[in-house]
Amino acid sequence: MAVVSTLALHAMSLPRAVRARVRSRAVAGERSDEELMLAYVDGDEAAFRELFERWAPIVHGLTRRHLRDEDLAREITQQTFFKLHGARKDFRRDGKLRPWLLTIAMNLVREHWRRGKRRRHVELDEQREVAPTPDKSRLELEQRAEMLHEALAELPETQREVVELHYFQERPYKEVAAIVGSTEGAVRVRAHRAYRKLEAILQKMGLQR
Amino acid sequence: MSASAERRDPEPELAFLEGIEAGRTELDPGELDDLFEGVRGRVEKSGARRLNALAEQPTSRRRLFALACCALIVVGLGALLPHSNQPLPPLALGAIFGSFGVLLVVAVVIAFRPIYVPALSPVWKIGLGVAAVAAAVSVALVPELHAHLTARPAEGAFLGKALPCLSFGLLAGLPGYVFLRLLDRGAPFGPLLAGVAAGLAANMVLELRCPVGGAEHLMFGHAMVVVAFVVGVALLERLVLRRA
Repeated sequence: MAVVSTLALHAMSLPRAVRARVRSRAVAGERSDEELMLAYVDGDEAAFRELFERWAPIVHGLTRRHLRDEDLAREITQQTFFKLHGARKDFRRDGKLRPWLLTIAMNLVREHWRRGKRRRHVELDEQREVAPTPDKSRLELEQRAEMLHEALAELPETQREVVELHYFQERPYKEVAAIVGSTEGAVRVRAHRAYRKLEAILQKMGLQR
Repeated sequence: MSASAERRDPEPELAFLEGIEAGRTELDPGELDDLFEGVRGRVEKSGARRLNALAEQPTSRRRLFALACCALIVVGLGALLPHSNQPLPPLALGAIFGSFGVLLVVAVVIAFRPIYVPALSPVWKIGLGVAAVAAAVSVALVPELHAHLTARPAEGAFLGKALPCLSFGLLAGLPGYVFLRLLDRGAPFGPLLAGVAAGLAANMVLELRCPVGGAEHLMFGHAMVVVAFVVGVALLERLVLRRA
């Protein structure tokens, strides 16, 4: 557990960008996702735009981490919202939008893998082209992040999607189970195995204290 | 869940994975606009197609429409149009319409499974196609189910014996196939599942209408309709779409 403890220590100083993005919107007066969706079903085009602005970065982040391909992530983000539009009349007044969107995105990602398209590794240089100029510590962080990316990529699909949803999207196990079509217990086991495997891969890569 | 497993819960150890986000780009407003324009373009394009309104119907309604269409084909062509066949005995009726009916309903339910619920494994869908073909072939090969059929195919070329039923079956199923595809929202294996439903409906029509017995005729005139829809039409559509 030494490696993991080290990782946890590093994590303390990291920006919480991911979590901030998915944090629930409790701003007074702001319409909820469900209210926006219902407004869109009733013909409010602006509501769809608002939903897109709210959720596209999250869906994009999720699919990008999964596919490691910027263009593909954008394409699947667009497809997700197009599919959401196509299914809008299925949306029930008591429904929740978030599991809908994430399930659509995950289904599209799975469909992509099913069609035999292989993961294309995005070159680090390519990423740096669009990234702000990093300082030394940031570079180190990026290198470590790249290692972790690779470790994550080595996980089986079923384990990776659980980590993506539970950890990065902060979805509770119950919701992750609903999204991936499994039971909560099975999802917990998958997360547990994923974590153990990640730990082993990272140790092998030499990510140590 | 064991205590060990709880301890190994990804929180907080995997917190370091957030480092993956470090230095990566976020979607800036301009990129977000471009992406949204892309989505809007697709929405407008699909909205311009009048028939797309069918696919946008709620899922329960799409399933109902699909089943109603299949029922209309079976009842309209198989039972209401005049024909010279004897009524099916209860055993044959139950076996053929029971098995085909269940498979047809399952095909429609899976074909119109909405995308916002976890996708079924492709094994289910391919398995359903295999089951439909197997059911059609089995029905053709069980003589007891067709003991009431006294007529035999006319003498002549092999294909000539089966061709009338094969053609009629394909024509009977085609409107159903097209309608089911119009209801589809682009689900994976949609053509295959529509083929299963249309092929089974067409086969039921033939079972009701055709007075000709004989394993060869039943196999190549009736069961082949299901094979043609499940494999042929679905593959053809895939090829055509790929080229387009």
